[in-house]
Amino acid sequence: MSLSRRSLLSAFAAAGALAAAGPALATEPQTTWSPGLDNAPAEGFNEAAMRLVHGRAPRGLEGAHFRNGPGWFRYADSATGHWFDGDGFVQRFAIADGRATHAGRFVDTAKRRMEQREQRIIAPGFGTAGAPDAAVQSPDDINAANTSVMMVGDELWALWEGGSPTRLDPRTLATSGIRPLRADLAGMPFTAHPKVEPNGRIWNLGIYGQRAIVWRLSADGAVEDAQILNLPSRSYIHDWAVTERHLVIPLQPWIHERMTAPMVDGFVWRDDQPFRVMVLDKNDYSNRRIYELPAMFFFHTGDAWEDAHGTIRFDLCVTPNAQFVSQDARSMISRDVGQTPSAELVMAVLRPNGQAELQRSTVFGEFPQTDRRRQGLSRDLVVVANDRAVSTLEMMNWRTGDTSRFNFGADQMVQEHLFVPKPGRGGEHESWLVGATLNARENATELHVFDAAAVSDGPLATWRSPYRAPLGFHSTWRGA
Amino acid sequence: MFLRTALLAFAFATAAIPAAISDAWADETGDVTIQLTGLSPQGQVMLQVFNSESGYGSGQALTARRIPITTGTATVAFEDVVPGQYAVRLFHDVNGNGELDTNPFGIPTEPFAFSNNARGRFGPASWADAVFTVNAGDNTQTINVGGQQ
Repeated sequence: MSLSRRSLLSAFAAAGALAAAGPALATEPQTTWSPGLDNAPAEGFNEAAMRLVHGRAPRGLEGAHFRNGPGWFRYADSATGHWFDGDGFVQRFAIADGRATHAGRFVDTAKRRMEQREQRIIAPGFGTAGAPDAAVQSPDDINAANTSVMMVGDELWALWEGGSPTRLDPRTLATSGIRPLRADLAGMPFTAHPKVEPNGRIWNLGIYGQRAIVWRLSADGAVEDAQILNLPSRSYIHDWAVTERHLVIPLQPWIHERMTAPMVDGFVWRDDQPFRVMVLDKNDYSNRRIYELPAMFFFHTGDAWEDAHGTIRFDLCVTPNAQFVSQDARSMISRDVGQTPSAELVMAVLRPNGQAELQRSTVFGEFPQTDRRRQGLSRDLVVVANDRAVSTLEMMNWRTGDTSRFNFGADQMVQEHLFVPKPGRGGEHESWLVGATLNARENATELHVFDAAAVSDGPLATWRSPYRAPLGFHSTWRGA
Repeated sequence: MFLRTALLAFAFATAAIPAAISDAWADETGDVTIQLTGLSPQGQVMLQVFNSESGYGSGQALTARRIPITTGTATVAFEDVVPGQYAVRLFHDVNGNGELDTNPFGIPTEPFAFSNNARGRFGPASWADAVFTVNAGDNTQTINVGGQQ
């Protein structure tokens, strides 16, 4: 189904917004998030075997799934103000010889050192006001390094979005400090969603109010180019997309209108404003076009591509407003789960004539993932994890409209699942999906492997840790 | 968002007021030794001394020094200083271009520091945090220019 902006606005109004289309949202209990928001052990988890509790590892699956997310939220007398401000905790699920192990370490940031030394929350953050005596001379003083991970050469980078990457050893998860990108660009923001072209080139943004830096790095992390852009609005930009020829920057109407602490309180939801999408020519950033879609909120895109006629498509997971980021992700810290509905997977379609439309899916979830070998290229598949009213992993095929869903059942919090190519195979379907859940009933973190061509069949293999680790945000796969 | 204009205002024009730090009429004066640590052995340190909160806030320094840096430490001495309250701010001009370099969003890319090792919150340290008392006799301030404590 394809809807114009006008008709979609009408559809939202008639249906009581996107949430109303969600599966059984009103009747099923909300997932209890609190097990995923406990502090991890300060010393982390030494590498330990996970127990195979279902199926067996597919032959040829060898490598490590690295994952990052907030893992420390509270001291005796103080707590972070927002899920997004916990200290970065990097986990490694390694699969070799049919067996799996788990390890986890906190990223050793300046923020964490300071707060562990004084045993209190000090640093101001996205949703944390911070202590009045907090010293902040650079964004990297409060860099939580807690949002994503990527491999660059032999380095594992822990990414935040307001400051520099932090460098870790992928074997030991030991932190070796801030990764300088270029001396004159120290402390510049670098989002947690770099886009890696099939040739290895890395693109990223860094957002600072109404300005952005566009990073272009070589595969080994050297800065090839960095340019400053002025943006049409002070929108919250967590993720974006690239095609072979264009940069696609969604500008949602959650606008940073005033400087205050915590930062999240300075954002205002403007549903009378459109959701703009700025498209830039990769070779000439002054060559740009603005598209308009109806007001909606998003964190994550799948990827983008453009067809032979110049139409750009990118999928994203959207909610009707910014309630989750502005309210629920704060109250989660004090164990109130909030009522934000699941996000719906939609496809934005940007036509060469300047028109934009939104294609809906009735698939609900977050953390959309695609076959990363096709970054910026045409593809059919995207998989999302639903961790709200239902606990599902669901694959969407945009070309056929087919979906394939597995329900983990109550008590499971489903996290991001990555496409892992089967050795020697090139098709999107010829991949495994590898990701974690937090099993609240078993008080354990689990690792699952699915066949991307048969998600509804359930996992091919499931391993379980003898403990539970915090929920994470984003992950990366490094083949053996 | 972050440091922005607050630290842009920190830029060191050495338009310091060329006032003597000593007062010949004072009965007793102090000697002040400022020890700088945590330096990389290159460039120069640009250091300003203030004797009032208003001067500190407006950048009107009592005096300023330019100190070539060749090792990881440096010492600056002021003699016959009138007892009272003072604050020091400095930056390490690593590349020797005479300016506090910033990234494109205005955040300093060269080390800067304040007396008492005071640190600011999205900007320079406050006068209240940086102020120290000079008494008659010997006075010492040790400032770690290397950043994180």
